[in-house]
Amino acid sequence: MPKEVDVKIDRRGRVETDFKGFRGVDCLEEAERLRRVLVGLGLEIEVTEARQKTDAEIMAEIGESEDSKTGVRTDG
Amino acid sequence: MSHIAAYKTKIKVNPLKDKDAKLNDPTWQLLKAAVEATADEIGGEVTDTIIDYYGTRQPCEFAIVTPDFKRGVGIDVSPIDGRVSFAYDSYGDRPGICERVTQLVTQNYTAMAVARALKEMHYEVDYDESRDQRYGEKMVLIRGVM
Repeated sequence: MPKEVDVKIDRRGRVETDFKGFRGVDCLEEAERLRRVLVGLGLEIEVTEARQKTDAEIMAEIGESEDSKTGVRTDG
Repeated sequence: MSHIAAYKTKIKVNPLKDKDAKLNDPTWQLLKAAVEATADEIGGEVTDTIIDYYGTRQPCEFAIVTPDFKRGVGIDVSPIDGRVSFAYDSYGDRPGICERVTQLVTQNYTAMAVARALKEMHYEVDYDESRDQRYGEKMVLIRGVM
C-alpha cells in the first residue's frame, strides 16, 4: 500500500490531515516531520484535535489499495 | 497505526529587512505568491499602500486594492518575529472584501506551504480545489503520495 497524506485547508487556513498506509507510529513521525518542514516555510501549526483511526477505517483503506488484491496486510 | 488530525495555523515569515534577501527567502516567496493569487481570485491589484477613511496613505509590505474596496487591505510583517498581520479601515466594506482577503491570503499561503513541504519530503503532490456545497466557500485539497 502506498503512503499517502491527504490535507484539507479551509477558508480560515485550518488544516485537516489524514495519514494513510503508515505502519505503527510511522504516521506520527511523518506528521512531526511535516510540521518541522512547515515551520521552516513560515507556517506554525498547532494541533486542535487528533485521533487514531478505527479498525474499520483502516480496513477500508486497505481495501482501496492494490495490496489488498495480493493479500498483503498492513497496519494502517 | 494511522491517524487523523486538525490544526490551526499561524503565518510567520523570516523577519528580514533587506529587499534582496526577501526575494530569495522561501517564506517571503510564499507570501508574495499567496498575495498575488488572492488578488487574481478577487480581481484586485497588488500595491504597497493602503488608504484610511481620512485619505491618509499608509505603507505596508503588500496591499490588495479592488474596484469594490479602493482603500485596500494591507499585509504587514512584524520586524521582530515575522508574524503576518492585516491592516485595513473596514468602514464601508459592504462586500466584505477585508475579511475575504484576510482569509484567502491565509488559505493560499497555507496551501502553498503544505504542497511545497510535501514535495520537499519527496511526495508526488496533487492540488485540487472545491466549493463548500452550503456556503460556496473554497476548500483546498492536497494529496501527497509516496
